[in-house]
Amino acid sequence: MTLIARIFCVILALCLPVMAMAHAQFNGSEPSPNALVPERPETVSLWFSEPVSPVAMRWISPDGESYPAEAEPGGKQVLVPPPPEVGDGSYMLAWRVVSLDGHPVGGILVISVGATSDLPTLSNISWPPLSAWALIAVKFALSVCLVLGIGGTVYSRFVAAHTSVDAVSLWALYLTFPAALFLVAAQGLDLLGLPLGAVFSGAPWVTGASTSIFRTAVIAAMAAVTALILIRVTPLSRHRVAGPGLALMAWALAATSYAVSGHTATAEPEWQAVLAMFTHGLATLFWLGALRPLLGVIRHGNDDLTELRRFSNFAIPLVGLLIVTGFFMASLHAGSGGFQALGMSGYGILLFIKLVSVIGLLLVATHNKLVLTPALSRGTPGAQDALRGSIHVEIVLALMIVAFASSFRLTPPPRTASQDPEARSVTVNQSDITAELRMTPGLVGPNEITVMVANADGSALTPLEITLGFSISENDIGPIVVDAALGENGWTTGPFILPQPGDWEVDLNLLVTDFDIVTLKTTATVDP
Amino acid sequence: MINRLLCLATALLMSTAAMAHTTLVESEIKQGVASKFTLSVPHGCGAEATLRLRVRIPAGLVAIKPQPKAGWALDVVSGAYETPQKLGETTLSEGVLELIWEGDLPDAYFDEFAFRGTVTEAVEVGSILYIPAVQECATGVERWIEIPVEGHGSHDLARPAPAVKITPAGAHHH
Repeated sequence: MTLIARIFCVILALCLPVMAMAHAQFNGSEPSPNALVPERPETVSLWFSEPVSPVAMRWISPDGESYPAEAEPGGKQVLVPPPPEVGDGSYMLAWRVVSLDGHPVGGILVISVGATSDLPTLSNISWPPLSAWALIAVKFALSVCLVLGIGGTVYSRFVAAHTSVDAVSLWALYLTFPAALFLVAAQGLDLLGLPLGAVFSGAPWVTGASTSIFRTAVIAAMAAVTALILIRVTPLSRHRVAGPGLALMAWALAATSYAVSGHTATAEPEWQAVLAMFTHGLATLFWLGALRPLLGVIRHGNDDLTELRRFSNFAIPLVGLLIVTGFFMASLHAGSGGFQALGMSGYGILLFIKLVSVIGLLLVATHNKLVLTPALSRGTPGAQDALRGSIHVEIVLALMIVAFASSFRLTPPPRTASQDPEARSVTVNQSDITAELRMTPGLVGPNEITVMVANADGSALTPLEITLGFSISENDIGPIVVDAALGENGWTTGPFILPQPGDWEVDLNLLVTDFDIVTLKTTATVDP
Repeated sequence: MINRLLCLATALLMSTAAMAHTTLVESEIKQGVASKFTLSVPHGCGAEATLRLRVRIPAGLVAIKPQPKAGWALDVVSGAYETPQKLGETTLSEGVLELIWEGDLPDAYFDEFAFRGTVTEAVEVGSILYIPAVQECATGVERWIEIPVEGHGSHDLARPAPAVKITPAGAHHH
């Protein structure tokens, strides 16, 4: 037997059993899934079909609180610290591991200590991991850069009627590039649920670049490039001709960057939402961008109030647009439940805080316009300091508003959470069976699925068991296998995590009799 | 030569060890000839002992006679066929639909469960006949009932139904 034959033999022997498991599969756990154990286990082991590294582990206690857990890798076995001591009840472990080929696999393990309890429902599972906060921070940084840089450029061109911007605005324009770049990575980290350190790997960048946030990053960078061309490249002699066009273009690009991603880009009707967000962005950039340059104008020894008046002339209609578009977008996001639905959702609370800040800002601005500016033009002593102080308050409120606006990632608007049968359900007609899958909320993260089945002729069909398998075979993800249980609302799954956006292949396995299993195949879209 | 055989044996052993499915011992059955079907049960449901084995007799398999087993109660479910079956000149409208053995088979042991039956002409020569079986334990169930879709083999399935190839009545094998 030659060496080559020997090697071939070894390869053959190694390949045969391996063929059945091309990617890591969850093979079981100790305590086993859905086990009822008398006491809190000292450790929980998860077993996989191949060596894996833990990526993210979270315990969700019976009261719905989320506790991150630091898991220990051990080849095919992953050791997870015990659930937090919150008392008896059912605990959920949301686990995500990555196999050697770099593909994340995730799932939910339920273990009950002492007694079983209702599983925490979707609304009280907190799902903003650290990467979500990073995403918010980067979004905030990018917004501040755009407001200072593009807003500053717009102010200097159209209000101050010159094209020089100060060092802060210039730096803001330069910093737009790294902010836009890291926005892509932060989005990828958030989607994959990876720790912040993974920013040095390729995966978050690739994933981030495949989402709509990539357009935001590119367009924001284009806005900064345009503004820099105006400020740094265009010769002063040509500013009168090229200036307004370039400034308008930078302004429009920056406003567009807000409109092409996020919840807005997926709201219906799409063009109205995009147009509203674009207008909202234009007004925000102008108003907030003008605050800092205005401070420079209102100083001792400057009696020329032309700039302040010109700003007012622009600001009044733009603030009007800001309010109108803001209300319009809130109504789109409220969905069928109306504004009442907004009030009760996390999204609504965030929006409410933002609105309070906006109203505060409007009151301060009105006070500036009606009281302080006339006082300044009359030359009342102390009016300058009062107006400067008031603009400082405006700046603080503006920063808060931008921060709240960047935080909407934490909570999807009710529109996406509402049970819209068109948007969130999939119907399959196969093997003389009609099945409808309703996904709540159909977004990355925890999901619940309700399955309705009937015979194609409309007669009732009561399977013995329903199992769903979710996979993205292109990326070797899954199958994430979940069982549906028959309850008051029909066949429903408990919350389980779909770790990635995209089109998931769904295998709906119906055990029709003890001996007959019917598999219906469909795809379901999961949005970021 | 011995090396070569060892190689093949290693490869095959490793592949079967990875499967450990409930299967039919026979790989081929002749059409129209009363033949023995032997189900091999290699393990329980997880670590649990098998307490019941249920075998569904598919359409095209008639004249069933189960083999009793010591320590196992045997239950034969008979009834009307969905469509009448033809065996030679005779038309059969009813017969055995399900076989149920009840006993105790610890996970550490394996056992075989047999019956005789005849494959009718309704099952084409060269096709695969699937005989779904369900292993029931104290709490768990193992269902060997998955049938591959056209053009795919059973090896993709997690719990394939025991299967056998149907050969012509006159075929001889060496």
